Amino acid sequence: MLSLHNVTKNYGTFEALRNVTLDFTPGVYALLAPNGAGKTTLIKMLATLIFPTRGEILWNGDDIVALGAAYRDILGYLPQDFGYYKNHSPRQFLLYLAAIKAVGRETAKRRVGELLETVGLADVADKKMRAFSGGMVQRVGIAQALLNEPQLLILDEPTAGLDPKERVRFRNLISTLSKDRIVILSTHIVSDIETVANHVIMVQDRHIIANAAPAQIVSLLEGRVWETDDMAVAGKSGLVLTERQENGATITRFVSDSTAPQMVSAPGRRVWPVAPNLEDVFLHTYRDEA
Amino acid sequence: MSENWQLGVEPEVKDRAIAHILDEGLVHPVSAWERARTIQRELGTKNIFFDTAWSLIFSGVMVVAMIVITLGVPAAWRHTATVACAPLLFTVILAGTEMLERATAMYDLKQTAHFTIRQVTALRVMAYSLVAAVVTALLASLSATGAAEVLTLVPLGLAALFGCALAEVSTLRFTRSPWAMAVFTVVWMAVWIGAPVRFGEAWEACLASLNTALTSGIAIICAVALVWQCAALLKESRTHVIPA
Repeated sequence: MLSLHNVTKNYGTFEALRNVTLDFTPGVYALLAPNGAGKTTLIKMLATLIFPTRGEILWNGDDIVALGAAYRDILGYLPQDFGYYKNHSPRQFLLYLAAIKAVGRETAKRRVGELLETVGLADVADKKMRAFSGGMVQRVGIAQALLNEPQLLILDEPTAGLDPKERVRFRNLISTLSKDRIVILSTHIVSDIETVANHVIMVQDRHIIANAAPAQIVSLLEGRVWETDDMAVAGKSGLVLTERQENGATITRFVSDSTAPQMVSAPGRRVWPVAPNLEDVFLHTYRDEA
Repeated sequence: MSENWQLGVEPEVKDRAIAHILDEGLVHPVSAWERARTIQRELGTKNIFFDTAWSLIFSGVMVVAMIVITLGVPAAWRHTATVACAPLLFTVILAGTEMLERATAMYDLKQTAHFTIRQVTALRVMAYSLVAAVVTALLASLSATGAAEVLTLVPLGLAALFGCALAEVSTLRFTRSPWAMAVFTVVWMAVWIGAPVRFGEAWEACLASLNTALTSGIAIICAVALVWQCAALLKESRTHVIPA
């Protein structure tokens, strides 16, 4: 189990995170927050790239910093825009990373072959990555994070650049992996979270403001999300979330604390309740953020 | 975590620690040298210098430049040339490889591996400084006109090399910006090339007057300090996590 106890991180006088306490058990945890909320700071601390100013992070009761290489051996990490070696093939690149992850040579050869199959790159395994698309590079990144069969997998924007088919494949892979390990995802793509996450951790203004199952998070807006073809109603009644075109009309989705926003609609216009989703919660929670 | 943490260790933590030690036995701490040998053995030379080809090619160009300058310079400027050229190979190759490493998030990724990039960098520094020391000693010997001048130029060149290497590795240890290494290299070269331009023959006379014992001492002290910096990179022990 991974635990954070009252973790605070300061950069000089700037406080990036304050008194964060979290427990992670096997499953998929999604970090949901706008840029600048402290998400990357949290991820980098879990990856031992930076260290808490106060508090401690424990893996099965032991401080992760004191564990050193023993902790890094159980860690799989995919940074955002992870960079890669254009003049090498995915196989060469993965074998190199397997070496610095201290995976034995024979195990590495077998594992690299398996992972290239898993991420659908077996047929280009020996081609230079120079000509790879963003999605292919990202799949190489996902493969490297799994090289050492990590018990803790930290993925920062893992589906960025993936097409819908690749994204589905990735979600399935994460679901399979999460049965016996902790997966922490940082993503802006709400549909990824709704599909695979067991827990959603929301960060706002340096604090954890929610840590619950997606259904529980979504229930925060139960009975408060509406749609209308009368834009004026949305403006009067609450916070506008999204707009879309449907049969020539503009349908506005909004949050209202009023139990009957239809009372203020113009004659001939409609207002109807809809089931909230995670995107609604995200837009509502972070409405004041840039 | 209670306030007792500040004073010592909580009794249950202490009991657990004693039980753990009794179970495992006392483990002999691994020295930096043993750690370096383990990394070299398990990673292999190929992986230690993975994707450093461009830096190596560029360093080849530097060696040619060093040969041309050191052997081609008039005898009146030999000490100046030795001091200016000795660190060239080391500083350019290390700055090149480190800048490429730091330019992407790959650096962070490699810091989360069993053998971190900073540990690998420590091995690279050792290899580069050994090669640079051999090249410096050879060129200084070849440019000297007699045995006495060899004894002057070689320690002078090595002092310049290890002094630069120590300053550069210290910069590497305490910065994360990819540009830190480039700035260091430019500043170092500007100082040591600028000094003779600014002070003229007085600069050469100053270097020529340096006692061999002094330059040998500086070279040895800087080399020892460099090894110490490499050992620190290899261990990378972090102790600044403060309990709540």
